[in-house]
Amino acid sequence: MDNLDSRIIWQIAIVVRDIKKTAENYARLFGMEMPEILISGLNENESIFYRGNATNAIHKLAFFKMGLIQLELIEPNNEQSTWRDFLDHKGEGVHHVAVFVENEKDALEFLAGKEINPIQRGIFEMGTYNYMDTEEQLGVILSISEKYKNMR
Amino acid sequence: METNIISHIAIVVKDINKTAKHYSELFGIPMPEIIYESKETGCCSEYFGKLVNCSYEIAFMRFGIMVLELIHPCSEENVWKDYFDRHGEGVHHIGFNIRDDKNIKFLEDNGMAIVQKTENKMGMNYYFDSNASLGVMIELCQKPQK
Repeated sequence: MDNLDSRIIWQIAIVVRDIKKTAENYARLFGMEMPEILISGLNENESIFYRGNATNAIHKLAFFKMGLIQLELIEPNNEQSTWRDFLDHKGEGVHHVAVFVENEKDALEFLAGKEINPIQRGIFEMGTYNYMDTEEQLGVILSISEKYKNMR
Repeated sequence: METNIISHIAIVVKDINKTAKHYSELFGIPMPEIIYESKETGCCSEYFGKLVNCSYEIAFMRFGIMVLELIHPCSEENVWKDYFDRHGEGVHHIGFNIRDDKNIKFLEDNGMAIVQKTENKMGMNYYFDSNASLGVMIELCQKPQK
């Protein structure tokens, strides 16, 4: 693999302190329907690994479709996570941009060769994601995953 | 707002050449041109209502339907430098293309003040104080009126 095989950013994610308030503002200002606020991290099939260790990071999520891009809002709890780190160090803001790759293993190997490693990995019913430590090289965290099953 | 289509996302960086090179290598895309904008190139900025001598370097890369923009501020007194001083490198704003001035008034009427206006070859760019409401700064871009 000479480079990542995808260059389509399909998701932008913002960490916020009060997801209901922020989601209401997006819905109102852009004329979109108020999305359901989902709670993630409670399900037995879900697990999150922060710097290799399992964490009980429960977080609230909301999704908007803005053109072809999905905007994700995330309100983390106080357990260790990259979301919590971001909120504590930078405040509210864009936490990551996400791209899909054909093969997660190949992409992670390629990135490891460039000294880019996962900081957080999440496993949930639709698939997995990897937040990579690309802030130094790309100015933002890159989320890498294979295309999700049954994506809404 | 007349649109909810995100046209671009902009990242403030310390060394634009270095960051652009990383993008180019990781994604296998050509190295983007790094454009310098200043008063001399016809760029004019108003920051908190005051005319400022603003200069910056900018590079554009296409990622699907969206453009990823890298910005390195070369002068003081602008929204990019503010962000960099407070947070370091990171996503500075999300941009939308608009046609009608009504959108600007709409955001202002919703309590979001314009913190910076920058005019360049691409048109007028308005930066709004939307962080408290939306968790990120919003930029509205308007092409020159014909």
